[in-house]
Amino acid sequence: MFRNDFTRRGALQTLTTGLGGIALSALTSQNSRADSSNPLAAKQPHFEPRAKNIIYLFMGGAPSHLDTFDYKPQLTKDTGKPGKYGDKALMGSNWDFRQRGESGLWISDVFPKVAEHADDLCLLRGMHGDTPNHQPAVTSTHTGSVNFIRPSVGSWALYGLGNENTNVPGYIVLGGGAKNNYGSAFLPAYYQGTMIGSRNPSPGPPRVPNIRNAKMDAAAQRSQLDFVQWLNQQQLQRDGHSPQTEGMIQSAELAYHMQTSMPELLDYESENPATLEAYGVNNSATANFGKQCLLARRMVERGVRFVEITHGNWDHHDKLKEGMEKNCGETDGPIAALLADLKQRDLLKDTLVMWGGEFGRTPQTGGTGRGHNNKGYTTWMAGGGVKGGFSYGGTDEHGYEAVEGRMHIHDWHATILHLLGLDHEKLTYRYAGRDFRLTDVHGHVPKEILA
Amino acid sequence: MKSQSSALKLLLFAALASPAALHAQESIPAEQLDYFENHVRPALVKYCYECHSVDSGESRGGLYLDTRDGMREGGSTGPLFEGDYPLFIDAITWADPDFEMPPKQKMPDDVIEHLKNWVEMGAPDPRERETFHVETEIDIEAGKDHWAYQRPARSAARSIDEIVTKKRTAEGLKAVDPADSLTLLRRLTFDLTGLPPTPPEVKAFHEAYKKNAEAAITEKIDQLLDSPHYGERWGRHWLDVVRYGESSGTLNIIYPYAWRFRNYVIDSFNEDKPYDRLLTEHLAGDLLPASNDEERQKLLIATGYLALGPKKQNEKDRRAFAMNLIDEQIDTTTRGFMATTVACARCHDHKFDPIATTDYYAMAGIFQSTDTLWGTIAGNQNHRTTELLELPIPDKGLSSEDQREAYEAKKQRLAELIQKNKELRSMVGGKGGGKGKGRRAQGDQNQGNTPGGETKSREELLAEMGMNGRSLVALKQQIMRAQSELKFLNPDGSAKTFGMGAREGNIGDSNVLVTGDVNKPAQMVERGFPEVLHFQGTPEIPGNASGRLQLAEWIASPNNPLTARVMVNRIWMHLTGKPIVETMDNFGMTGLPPSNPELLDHLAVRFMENNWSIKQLVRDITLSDTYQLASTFNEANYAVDPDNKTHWRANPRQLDAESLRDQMLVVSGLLDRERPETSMTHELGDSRLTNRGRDAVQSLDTAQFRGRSLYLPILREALPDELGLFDFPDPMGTIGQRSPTNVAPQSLHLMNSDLVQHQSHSMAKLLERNFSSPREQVSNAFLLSYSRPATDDEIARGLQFIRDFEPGDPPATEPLASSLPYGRQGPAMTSNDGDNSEPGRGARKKGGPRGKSSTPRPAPPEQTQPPITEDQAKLAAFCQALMMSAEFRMIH
Repeated sequence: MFRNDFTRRGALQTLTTGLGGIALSALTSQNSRADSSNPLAAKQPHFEPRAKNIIYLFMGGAPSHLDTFDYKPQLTKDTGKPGKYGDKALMGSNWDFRQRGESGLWISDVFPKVAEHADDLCLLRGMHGDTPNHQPAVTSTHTGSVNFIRPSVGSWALYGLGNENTNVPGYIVLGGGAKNNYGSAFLPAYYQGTMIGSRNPSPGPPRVPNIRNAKMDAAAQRSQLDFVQWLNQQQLQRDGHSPQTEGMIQSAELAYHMQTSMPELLDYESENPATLEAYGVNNSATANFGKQCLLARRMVERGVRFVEITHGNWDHHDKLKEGMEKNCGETDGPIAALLADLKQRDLLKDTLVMWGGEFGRTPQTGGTGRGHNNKGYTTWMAGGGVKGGFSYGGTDEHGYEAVEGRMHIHDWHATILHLLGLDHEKLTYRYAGRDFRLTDVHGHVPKEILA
Repeated sequence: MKSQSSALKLLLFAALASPAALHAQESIPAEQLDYFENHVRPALVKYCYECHSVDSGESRGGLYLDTRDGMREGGSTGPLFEGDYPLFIDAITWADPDFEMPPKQKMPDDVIEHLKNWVEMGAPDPRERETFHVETEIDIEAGKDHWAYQRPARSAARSIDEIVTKKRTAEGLKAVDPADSLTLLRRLTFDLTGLPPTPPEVKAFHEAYKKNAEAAITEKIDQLLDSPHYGERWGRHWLDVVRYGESSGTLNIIYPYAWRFRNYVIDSFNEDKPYDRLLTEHLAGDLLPASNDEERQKLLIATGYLALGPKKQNEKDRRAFAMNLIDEQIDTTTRGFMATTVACARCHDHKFDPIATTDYYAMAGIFQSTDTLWGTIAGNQNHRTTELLELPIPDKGLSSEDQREAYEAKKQRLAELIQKNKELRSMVGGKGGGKGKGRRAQGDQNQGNTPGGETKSREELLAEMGMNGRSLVALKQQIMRAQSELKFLNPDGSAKTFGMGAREGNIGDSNVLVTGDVNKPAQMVERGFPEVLHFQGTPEIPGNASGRLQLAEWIASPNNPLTARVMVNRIWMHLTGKPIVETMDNFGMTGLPPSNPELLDHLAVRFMENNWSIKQLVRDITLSDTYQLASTFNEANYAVDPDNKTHWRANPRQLDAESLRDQMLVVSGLLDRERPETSMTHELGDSRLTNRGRDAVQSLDTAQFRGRSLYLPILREALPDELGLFDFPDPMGTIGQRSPTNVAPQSLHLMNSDLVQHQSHSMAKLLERNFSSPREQVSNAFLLSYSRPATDDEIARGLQFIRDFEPGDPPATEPLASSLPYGRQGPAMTSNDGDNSEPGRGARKKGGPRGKSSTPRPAPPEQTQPPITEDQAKLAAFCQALMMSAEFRMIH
């Protein structure tokens, strides 16, 4: 192929310009490993944080607030009557609501086990967003932007605080969907979410592909990586400014460490049988989500800053009853186990657990389900510095619209950052000539919900 | 709002052959009405609505029994009232063990009698569906002012550079210097062919450049445009737009003939088919004249565009499925070709753009009048199958001798299965033979009682034979599968030549569906195009045609303000890394305006003037000074224009998945540059249903595949890692621009995957064979990998690394698929020189017989690899380091 001897004579070695004059990096194999300018190193927050880590339980498809956490007795009374819009009838919940715990929060029977943790929940019943369409609503829930590609809330958190443990990714998404929802957009690439596992998981711990090297030991691999990083540093000096190269440098380091940290982290089967049982890992209905919940706990234990786990198929236009029963059956036990487990390990005070979808559902029905409703819905938070057994905000008597304690997605984002000790107005990134924020020019933190 | 729609009634009259359809409310005699109200409606409510009504939200089998229309349309098994033994009667009398309705308890005899009488009357049915009328609230005229709906304006400027410079200067910025020769060569070669330049090419170009830079560049560009790899590179870009995939997603049933479309696209780009013609062939190739079989074949394959999108074939409601298919076709066509999001108007007027929901259904009528043919085999959960196009030219390389035997064997087996089924059914009740036939074949109501014996239930009878209800179902499925397999063969046993595609179907307009709900049809709208884009010369659709040809004419018209702009924006993005309109697939109100409108229009006008020649446009852009700038960073420019919207430099870019892998195979000397005739997926799927996407792709040993990356299996939701990890998009819809990411799993792939280790090992062997001294090996490794000579420091560092490197003892590992030792590798490693002529394994060179591939793919031959020497291991570790490095993964 290139047996021609011109290369042997080194004829080309003098061809290119601009390489000879560059001083070679003084970096040695030692300091390339412990680069003090590591952008992922832990950073100081703006003020005393209430939470160090976040577990976000994202319910894709948008679960009904009216059948779970937003008690609407008037809606039940008015079942069958025409609703506010068009000629569809109002439909009360299929489930009874009752007051729970010492706080007396109203929670329906569809989430019996989560309801037992009522005194830890902070219901946000005045949520609202800008769009009733799934894809843009999911995007805005994750990034604050309906139309544009922007950094996700997890990326902002990681950018603001760095990672406590440089051996694991600081932002992990289990399962998950469209990449842009976990992307870093204009933030440097090392702040984007690392997706693990697939949407159709197989039994047992999720496998991180290519996690082991069968040819060399750790020392050999380290020396190889040091050589790679030396080449990359050369490149970086030539380029002056190169987010891509910087990203490659960071992700290679992380990958190296993940080879030991990830198999250990993902090996949830090493937990004691009672724990596995509690999370429902061995029960076919709860196995998938239970596994994710358990892994989420193992991740925050190891300092992962932001964990997102996903449950889907909440888009109940039809067969709300069957659909909710199935989905709640799959998630109720695991979520309750997660809350109990975090509490028992004294992790709940530092871990903010958040539950919710991209919007809520309409009080009216065209049959057996509910439509999309972005004007009023409920999410909840627990731990991490929020008041437990507390309900903030509310919708009108039928649950159409948030009328008090209104909390836009921007407000919700501002609150999340606040709980992490970050001021959403100060956490900015300069790009294209202006300072960008997760909350754009919006965002309000309701002090009422802070513990 | 709720007016009686006579159009709807007319449709029903026309669509239904059964005499039962000929009763409308006003013509039902009073006594029949009474009969219906007294005996029929109560029975339907009591026994049927629970599972088959809009209100219950249930439409088991896609069947609604709560409206006259629903009842007459029937469900997924067909019309209820046709033939001498109507399905409806069979079901309620429990005459067919597979259709016993209601399933748990038969209706009382008197109720059944009433229903039978009613059917004999012709099933007179007064139940009208609610009717709707949908009107748009959009001010279409006002919407026409949007920039993208104006025709592109001719620029006074004569060149790309003039326009770009004007804008850059206006912002007070100055461009950096031109790129040096070798940087430019690497950029051009990747941009036009997706491959790196080889060392001889590097040398030749450098020499020519020294003599006459401009001539060297021009010659190189023309040479690259003529390379067959050009069509592979640019065809692959296009395949992103048309969401090319080789399986359906969801159930993930393989499309074993999708590769024909892939090859057609590559050929079209290589022959520089005018873009307007390309679009026309995609949408309506079957309607274009062809002078010979070869041309006919190509034109038919072109319509595969309509068929190869993602599908949810587990959908039981055939109407819902049909509308979802149409939606997918509308979405890809309008976003892909016109960056217009017409599909947003499916349920209501477009929220932002001047596109009415009536516009949507005007387009829907075109696709509704089209038969889309994607094939696939019924069974398991696949409820939605079609025929395929039979193509005139047979695939090569079939020996029909043993095939005839195979054919006969299959036929024999089918006969046996049918016989077995017949016997079983006669023993346990129900009718023998295939589904439809038996149901109507006899009136005997003997439910499987042994002659003269006591009555036993079917379950008991089956249990005595060690079987159960499931066994019957399984048997039935075997029969269906065997029947389908035979459909794919000629009587001489040779495979029929199939393709995916489209043909004219039942021509007619579509109803508007209120909120997109198939159960809420409103008025019909004439087939046509969104009103806001009615420009001069918008074609009329004849009454006897689907309108696809006119759709193509409308999209590919020089008067269409979007089509050329959208394509030049794509081409510009692929060559510069940044589009002019950032929202590449959305030029509507929520999209972003062009960063340089004059440039966009200039390119669009030129593109059309040059007969929609893509090659010419690629040539124009690559010849421009703008394209040929260096990627040098400049602090001052960056402060003003960090996004490089004014093109003050070339954008440094990460290589995409295909180029990264292709480059590895080039530097390892293993790349097979020939196009495999088919796809690896062709071997997996063929005639049988495969509901195992991920398993399937894992059974394909893609690490051993030596062809170019675009020939890897493109299975939806199951992309091979070397594509999926590196931002290759899951082809669920039009993708204008991929989102490059940079994450640890990519690094893990580069560090540990079979593929990369294999390539680095091969590269080491190649270097060792060709160069004796370590110094030459190292310097040439740099040249191969970076398309430039190494610096002295790089050589010194490289040599030192190799000298010091000790692989050590890798930790004992559980046998993970990702870390198998080299011993598993196939013939590729035995290639003993740098020549890459050995054909790649995996994708066969010819379309093999369908039947064979249902057997598992044979394991790779047991090859004993010569153990890797210590020197090779050291050199391989060095080669791998180059592959992991940023420079290898980028173009500057």
